[in-house]
Order: sequence, then structure tokens, then C-alpha cells
Amino acid sequence: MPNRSAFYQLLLALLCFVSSHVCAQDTRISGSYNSSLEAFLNEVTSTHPVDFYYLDEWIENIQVNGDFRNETLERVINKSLRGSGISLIIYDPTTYVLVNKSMPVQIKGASGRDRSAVVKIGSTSLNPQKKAQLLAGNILDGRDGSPLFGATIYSEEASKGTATDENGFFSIILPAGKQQLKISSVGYQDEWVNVDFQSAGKFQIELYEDLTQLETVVITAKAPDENVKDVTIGKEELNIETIKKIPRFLGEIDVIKSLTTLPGVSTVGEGAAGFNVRGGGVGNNLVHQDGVMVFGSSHLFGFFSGFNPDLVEDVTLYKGAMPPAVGGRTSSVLNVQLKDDASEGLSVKGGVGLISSRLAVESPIGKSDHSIIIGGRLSYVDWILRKSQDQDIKKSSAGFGDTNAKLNLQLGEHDKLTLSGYYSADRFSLASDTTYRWNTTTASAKWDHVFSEQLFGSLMLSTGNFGNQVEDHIGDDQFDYVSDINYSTLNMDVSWILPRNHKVDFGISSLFYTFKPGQLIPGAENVNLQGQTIQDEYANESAMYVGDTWEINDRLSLAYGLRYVNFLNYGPRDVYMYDEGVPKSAQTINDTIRFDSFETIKNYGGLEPRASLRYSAWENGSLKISYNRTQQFVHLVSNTVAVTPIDLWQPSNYYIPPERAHQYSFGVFQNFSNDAIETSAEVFYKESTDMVDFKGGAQLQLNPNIEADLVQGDGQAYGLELLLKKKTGKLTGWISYTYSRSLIKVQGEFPEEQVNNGEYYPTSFDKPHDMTVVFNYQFTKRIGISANFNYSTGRPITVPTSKYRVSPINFVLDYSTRNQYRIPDYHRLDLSLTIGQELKKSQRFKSEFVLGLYNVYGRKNTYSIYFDQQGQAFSLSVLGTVFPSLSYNFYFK
Amino acid sequence: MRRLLTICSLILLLLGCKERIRFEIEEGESKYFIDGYLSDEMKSHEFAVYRTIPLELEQYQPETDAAAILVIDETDEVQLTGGPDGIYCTPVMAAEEGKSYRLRIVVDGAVIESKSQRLPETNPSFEMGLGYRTATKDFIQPSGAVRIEKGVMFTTEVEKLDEPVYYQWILREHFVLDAELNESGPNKYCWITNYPIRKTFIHEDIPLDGVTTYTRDLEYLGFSRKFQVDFALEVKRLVMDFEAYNFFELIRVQATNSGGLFDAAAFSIPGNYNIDIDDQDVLGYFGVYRAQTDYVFVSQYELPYSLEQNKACFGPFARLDGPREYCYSCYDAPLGYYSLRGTKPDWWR
Repeated sequence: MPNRSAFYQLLLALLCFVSSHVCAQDTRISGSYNSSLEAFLNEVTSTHPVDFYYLDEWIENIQVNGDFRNETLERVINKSLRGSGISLIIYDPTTYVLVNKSMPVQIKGASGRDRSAVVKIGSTSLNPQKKAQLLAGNILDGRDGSPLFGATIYSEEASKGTATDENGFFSIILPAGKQQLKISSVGYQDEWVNVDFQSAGKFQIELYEDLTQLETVVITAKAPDENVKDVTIGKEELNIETIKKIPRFLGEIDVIKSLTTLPGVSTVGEGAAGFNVRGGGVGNNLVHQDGVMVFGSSHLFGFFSGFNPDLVEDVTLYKGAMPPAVGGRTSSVLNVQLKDDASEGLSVKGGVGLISSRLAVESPIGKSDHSIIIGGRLSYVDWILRKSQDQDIKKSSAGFGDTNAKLNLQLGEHDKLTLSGYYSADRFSLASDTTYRWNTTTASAKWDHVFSEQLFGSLMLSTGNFGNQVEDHIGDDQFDYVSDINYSTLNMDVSWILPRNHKVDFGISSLFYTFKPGQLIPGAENVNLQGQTIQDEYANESAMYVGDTWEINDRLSLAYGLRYVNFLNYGPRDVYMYDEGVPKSAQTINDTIRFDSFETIKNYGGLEPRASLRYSAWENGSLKISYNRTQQFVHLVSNTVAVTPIDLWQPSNYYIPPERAHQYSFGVFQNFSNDAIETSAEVFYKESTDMVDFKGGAQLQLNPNIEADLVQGDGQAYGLELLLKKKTGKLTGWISYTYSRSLIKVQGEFPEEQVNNGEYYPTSFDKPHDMTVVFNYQFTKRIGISANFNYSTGRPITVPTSKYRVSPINFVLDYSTRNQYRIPDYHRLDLSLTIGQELKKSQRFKSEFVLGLYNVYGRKNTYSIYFDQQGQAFSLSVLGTVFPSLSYNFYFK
Repeated sequence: MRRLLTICSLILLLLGCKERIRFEIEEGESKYFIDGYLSDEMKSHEFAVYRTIPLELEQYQPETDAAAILVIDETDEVQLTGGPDGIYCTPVMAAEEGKSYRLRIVVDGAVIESKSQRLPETNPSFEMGLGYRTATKDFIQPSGAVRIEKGVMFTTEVEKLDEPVYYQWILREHFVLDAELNESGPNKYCWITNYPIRKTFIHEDIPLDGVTTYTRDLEYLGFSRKFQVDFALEVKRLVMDFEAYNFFELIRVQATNSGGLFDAAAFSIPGNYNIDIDDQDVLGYFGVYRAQTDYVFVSQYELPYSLEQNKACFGPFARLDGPREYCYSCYDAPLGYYSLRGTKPDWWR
């Protein structure tokens, strides 16, 4: 089974392939020799800045004879080694490794062995100074013993890895001592080997195909104890296998909703678009698909995810410490990583559900290393609308679809070019009358280049569009409305592995925005609608960053970095000037300033320091602490509880400064039972300034002076997140609990620009208690059951508290201060049963049925609260009953 | 755009299930509110000084000991009379062009004062041009079958001016019932006014090149026994300034959107009254409007619909295809109606 980012494996493989070619010619030998190889190597070591790794007994009978004139060291040694059974590997320009290909195997076999056992390699007597030593060996297919090409071996403790050559052979210099090695290969189960590495040695290990999983991708980009050893705090990862096991609404696998089962991640309501992270709004999350920003990440107002699960490899959410390479949002960065290549050969997978069907094809191109991946989904939801008794809704239709395409071109050993495209569309038509459409389009070209084993990087150019259209071409009120965001990004990222366990990442990025907030075009017959075009806004967000991840020692690691961002709002644009001393409004505009093309309207920027520290104070446990500063220059402006596709994205400009946040996190991480059980407790505190909110009654669409309807305030969020996770065995799953608060204070200069009298009040997504329990139990290889239980405090709401009269309206409701009350608490249990066919490893066609029950005990959870004219409250439960589902998934290889 | 959100809410409403819940509202001091407006109609204008009431109550709490003063042009003061029921009345008067008006209420030692208001600058002098046309409306029966209802769509003519005009229309029904069975003599009619207003709505009319006049739908009314003898729709048209229009627009939006996931956050709608006590709000809006009232009449004989002639009387809302209802006398008519038996209003045709 594939087990982690294929990209990462590819990178390691590339490093291995190039290893014997890098800079070896720098060391040259001149002179006459007739000595033992050992003596020769000792002499070279004393005269050149190179090190050799070998066992004495391997070379005790090997001689160096001959006259050499400016000969490369590599050639001299290889000449001596002819016929000896020893070969030379140039690990890096200063590291030469002699390998005995016939040396005995230390361990063998993987399947069924005791994984907690520690394998001793070498002897301390051979390495009394405990220097770094060579580990070499073979990785084989356990089925037939054939060598595995491109398999990787990685030491978390040393932060080093390498990949096998076409003979399944690998070699790597590792520090002496206990460590855990991860052995992976695409299409095979991961293996973990605990070794006590005392001196140079070799082992052979066999990997086996995963026979129990329908999906061939198991992403475990992390070691079993990475939660403890990784310096990053507040990082959540879900692989697609885990996501698929979580019971889901109508059987539709939802990448986004699965995140809400994790601590610190919530949503304002079932079916609501987006997610909330540590007290931030939906718009405070940056969503990337393969590194390309997407604004619309859901379908049908949020009921379904915008990502095709057959193409997703893994999902990483940074909710605490963010790497300096990413920024632009104050709450989190979510990267949905799609599959990178078709390394498994041709495969077809898909599924049929109640709402949509999907299909994905992965294939190499001919016999080359190139590959192509294409996938798509199409919905058929009209049958639900036709169940309605309302004639208008009966005549309505809705649908969504999305498609991805990815072309990987392997341009030699050092270069790879990836071309990607994504298109997602939603359509909703009411009574064949008004039609709403919204869509997302992205395209990218990414060039990965390996400069050397220590230096590699990528250059990516991407472009995207998020737009929505409304059209009504029937009756007297005909109109068309369009709005768009266009953006193009250039990213360059470089990673540099330096001595003393430093890994330095640096890069630059530049993002150009064109916001088209809205254009209204009245129909010819419309007698009371004026055409209107809100001015475009142009902006550039450029950043440079540098960060270092430093494994100081086994116990201590530090990641620190700095990101500088500059945001430019530029013309052409007319900017309104307002009267001083009164609230901004259309009535207080007193002048207009014209900014020409590319003329700077407003410039914002600043440094974003990032730092995390890990200290492993005891075995299998660690303490972590981090600080983050982030800035956000584009704001999702919404006055509704749940965001909608037509909500406005507003850039910072003359009147709207960027939102800035400082986040402090502290966590305790502890694993048990040989890392089979993870536990963690994290606390965080976040302060934000200039969070965008809105005045009561704000008009956000087609508002030429929207700054008059917006207010900005200071935010405060804090919380405790607990996680207990069992990762192996028949029973797996996790329990997460979060206590958190999210508050905002809007203290405008004038009473009209204040909310709740300038006091702190809870945001719409403030849900103090949030608990999720996810269990998976695998009865047999074919049958498994999953359960998901969620409990959370009801979200805040503003409710009517009294009534009055404004003739001729007899009852007008007067409301509480904003978000003073809460809707009832939420809880729900879901179950699913997966029945797969007998999954023999040689079987080319595999399939499974998934039976689901959503909301098993039919809890009428409040989706919304409505008030009648008298102010009586009614709870609306949209999914207030049991929803059974059946879906069918297949895989063909 | 609001429509999309309404549609979403509607769909969810239809797909979901609804049940009543109760919030434990924190007890707080009720707020003052002032209800009433001044217009250019020559009459005694009424202003109600009340306090807000909890949601479960129906009767507002009047402030009977207030002093109400209308300040004209910041110099002249007109004392309003009344008060026992919380209603304070001006003398017969009409708002005049160019003059400013401000309402001051002194109650319980507090002074409540409105912002100064004038008649709106825009003055659409044209007649309302009321009319009607026959129309139909589809209803889906519980069985899923569609019932097509015949009815009348009342309309008005709107002329465009050179600048935006902000309207409020207030519609009220009047009709005549044949109540002969309960009376001693034949052909005794009741002229009935449906006091709860039929509808009120606001409208912003914008200048548009090439358009001078257009017809706007006011209200659809299904064909019923109300049309049996004669029916009149009373239409009051108020012209107001943008601030007043915006106040009613906020009420309108809030009345249709409150609490849903796709609704804007509700809030206490600020009016234009201030009170000299910190941390207290006064609700309501003091407006000075241009007012015009007209009527449109229609009876079954003017419509292309056939109404079964039946000597028996019918309740006012009995459907044509429905069962006979109790025969009301004019005096026994249900609450909410006011009988004008034998007293034909002056304005009736």
C-alpha cells in the first residue's frame, strides 16, 4: 500500500539516484601507491576533507597499486575494489561508503513479526566512539523476493532517508544509537523497525501488499510517534483511508467534514459550508488543493465537499504553528494533497451513491515515467427536490460537478513537471425562474528540481477563478448578476539540508488578485432596476520567508522562521472620502479621489515570526510550545451565520486594514503501547486585531461604499484540546474534546459603529464544548463497522426579547444584544458498515458496499431557529431523522 | 441576492421539521417606544407612547402621564392632548412645506426627543392610478394536486421622477355583505372594514432613462364572497425620505429573516429618538410624510367569474367551492370587523 506522500518518496528516490554523481570529481589523487586500501584511505582522510565508512574486515586484503596523476578518488578506489565484492557509494562529496554486498543479513521479514522488538545492528566494539555509520541493505517484495525499486527507508530520529535503486539496494549513513526506521513503498504496507544501531551493518526487509484495504493509498507521512517527535504543534493530518471510514451523510465521503472530528475544528451547523478553527471564521482558513488556493471548497451550500475523495491522498491542517512558507489567513492552512502519480500502473476507481457518482483513472503514459490522473464527479440531486409539495421547489433543480486532471512529466533524474487543472461547478434553479451558478477553476504548472541531495526546490505558477452568476430571464424583473475573483500566484520554494541537523526552507511568492465585486445587468423589460457595476479592486500580496528546523539533539528540536508579507491595494479605483466626525455612510461622502492604474492606494505589510520548540522530557512524550503571527489581507464578509457562495471577499484597502493575529500554543504529547495509542493536550490563546464584522442591517452586495457598513474589532480566542487516539488493532479511532471560546469586541468611534456597546461578545461560531468519538472495528478483512458521535454546545444566536409597534405594523420584534443566547446543544450518532469482497492481493477488481445510518437515534438537532411575527421561536431540524444510505465503491487495477 | 438565501431557507424548511422551542429570556427593563407620524393630511395626528412588552403578551403598556410636545421650526411648540390610553393627539393640522418638526416626550422625568424632520423633498403629485386585473394563483393540495385559484390583482401607476422616491403603501379591505337573514327587512347590507390592514409594503422607485410610467402590482386577492356585493381596496400612499424608508426596510428584512443559518444577524433596529438617560434606547421613528389615499372598487359583476347566486348568506371568507358558513348579522360579525350597516361611507361609490 502506498503510505505517504508519493512526492516525498520520489524526492528521496531522486536523492538516491543522484548520490553517486554529485561533486565526486572534486577530490583527486596524484602519486604512486603500493599499500593496503586501509592505509590508503587513512592517508586520504588526513590530506583531504573526506570521510570513509567501512568495516575493517571487508578491506583487509585489498591493495592499492599504481601511479595516479590527478585521478579522481572514486576511480582510484573502484580500481582497487575490482573483484572484491565491495562497492563504493559516494554518499555526498565528503562521504565515501564501502559496501559489502554479500555481508550477512541482520533481520529478515516483516509480516507477522514482533514490531516492538529492537533489532541490534553491529557491535559497539566496532564503533566505540559512536560515530555515524553505514547501514545498507535490500528491500524486497515479500511475495516473490523481487527487489523493490524506489522504496524508501527513513529514520525519524536522524531526519534522514534514502531510496532503493533498481536492485532494491539502499545505503545510508545514520548516527549510532536507538532509532526507528520506516520502510515504505508505493502499493505496500509500511513497516516500522526499531533498531539499536551500533556499527555499520546491513539488513534486508520484505514488504507486503495490503490485502485488507480496498483503497490502495494509505498515507502515513509521519512516523508512529511523530505526534511526539514532530516539533510542530497544532498540526492535524488525516489520510484518505481514515476519512473514508468516518460515517457520512448520504454516503458521500467528505474531506472537509471529516476535519470537524478533530479537536479545535468545528462547524456552525450540519450542512454549513467550511469549518472553523480555534475561534476563527470560515474565511480565516486558507484552503489549498495541491498548493493552489481555492475559495470555494464545498458543494450545495456546504452539504458536500468540493474534493473528489478518489483523488485525495491526504489532508493536512495547520491550526497552531504554521510553517513560514504559508500564510495569508489568521486561523489555519488546509492543504488537500492529491495523488501525485500513477505509480501503481493503470487503475480505475469510482463509486455510486445516492447523490453523486464519481470516477477516477490513473495511468502511466506508455512505458515512460510520465503519468496522468483524471477524475470527476457528477450529482443527481433533483429527485430530492421533486419530493417537495411546493410547486416552485418541485420545478427546481440543483446539481454540482467537479473534475481534476493532473499530468506528471518526469524530465530526467532531477526534474519533474506537473500540470494540474480543476473545475468545480454548482447550479441551482428555482422553479425554472432564477438560476444561480458558482464555480471554481484553477490551473497550475509546477517544476520540481533537485539541485543536489541537500538542495531541492520547486517553482509553481498557478491561476484561479471563483465566480458566481445569478440570472433571471423570465417575467418583469429580469436581470443578470455576476461577480468574480481572479488570482494568479508565483511560488518558489527551496529546501536546503545543512549539517548539524538543520533543514532550512526559504522562498518567495507573489499573488495577484482582481476582485470583481459585482455587476448587475437589468433585463430589457425591467422598469425599476438600474444597471450597476461595483468597481474592481486590484491587489498584490507578496511574501518571502526563511525557516529552519533544527534537531538540536534527541530531546530538543526547534523550528523557527520569519515571513515578510507586503500587501498592495492599487488602482485604478475611485475612493470615497467621508465627512470627519460622523459615521461613514453614503450621505456623508464629500469627495472622491481617483487612483490611476497601478497607483498605490494603500500598502500594508509586516513581519510574521514563527517559532516552535519541542522538548522530549520523558520517554514517548514531549512538551511543545509555539508562537505564531499571521496577517490576513482578504476578508470573507458575511452577515449570515453560515457562509454562502455569494458572500463577498473583500481585500484590505484604503479603509480596511488587514486582520492580524498572535497565537500562543502549548501542548503535552504522550504515546503508549509502542505508539499504538496517542494522547495529547493542547492549550492555545489567540489575539486578533481588525477582525471584520458588520453593522446591523449592513448591505453587503452591490454596495459601492461597503466600508460604511463594515466595522472591525479585536478578537480573543482560547481553548483546551484533548485527544485520545488508538491507531492499530481491530479497534481504532479517537476521542477528541475541545473547550474553547471565541469572542470579539467592536469599539467604533461612534455608537453606530459599535456592536453590543463595545463589549466582548461571542462570535457566531463560539461553541465552548465540542466532543467527537470515532470508532472503527474491523471484524474480518471484509467487514468493518464505524461509528461517529458528536456533541457540541449550541451556537450563539440573537433572539427577540420584546415587541413594539410601528404603525401600521402591530408587532415589531426587538432583539437582544448580538449573540446573547444559544440554540440547543447538538449531538448525533452515525454508523456505517463496510462489506468488501474477498480482497486477494492478486485480485484486479475490488469493490465494497457501504451501508450508512446518519443520525441513528433521529435526534432533531436544531439547524436554524425561526421566529414568527409574535416572536415565538421554532427549531428547524433539517436532518432530524435517520438517513440511511448505500454506496458502492470499486477499484480496478 | 437575498432571494437565494430565502430559497435556501425555504427548501430546508420544507425538507426539515419544525418544532416550537422556548428561550429563557432574561428579565430586563422594558423600553419606551413612540408610534406615529405626521403627514400633510389635514387631521389630528396620533402618537402612542408605550413600553415594549414581553413576547407572550398582546397589550402594550401605555404611558399615560407623559407630556408630548411638537416642536415646529425649533421655536413653536404645540402641546399634544390626551394620554389616558397612551395616545397623544395633535390639533387638526398638516405638515407644511419647508417647516421642521420634532417630537418631544417627557415621561417619568426623562426627556425623549426625536430628530428634526421635514416633508420629503420629492413630491410626486400624480394620482395613484389604481386599477385591477384578473389573475390566478396555483396552490398545491396535500394530495399533490394543483388547485388554481381565480382572483384579482390590484395595481397602481407609478410615474418616475428625476430622483429616487421612497414609498410606503398601506392597503385595507372594505366590503359589503348581504345579511338579510338576520335582519327584519330585505337587502340589509353591512359595510365592513377589515381593520387589520391587508398589507403594507415599501418601494424604492429609481430614475431610469426611457421609462416614465409603469404599473406596479399591489396585492393579489383570491375571489371570495367579499366580492359578492361590492369590494373596495383602500390604498394609502406615503412618500418618505431615505432614512424613513431605510427604517422600514430594516423592519421588513428582519421580519422575514431572523435566526436562520442564512439570515443576517438580527438586531435592535435604531429609530430616530434619543433619551437623556445613559444605556437606554427608545424605539420608533418620527416621520413626516406626504400622504394620499384612494380607493379601487370591484364586484363580481365586473369580473369574468361566475358566482353562484344564493339567497343564503355566507361568511366573508367562505370560498366559492366551500361549505356555507354561519350567517352573521352585522353586529355579530367576528372580531376584527366593524359593521357599518346601513351607513354607506361617504367615499363609497
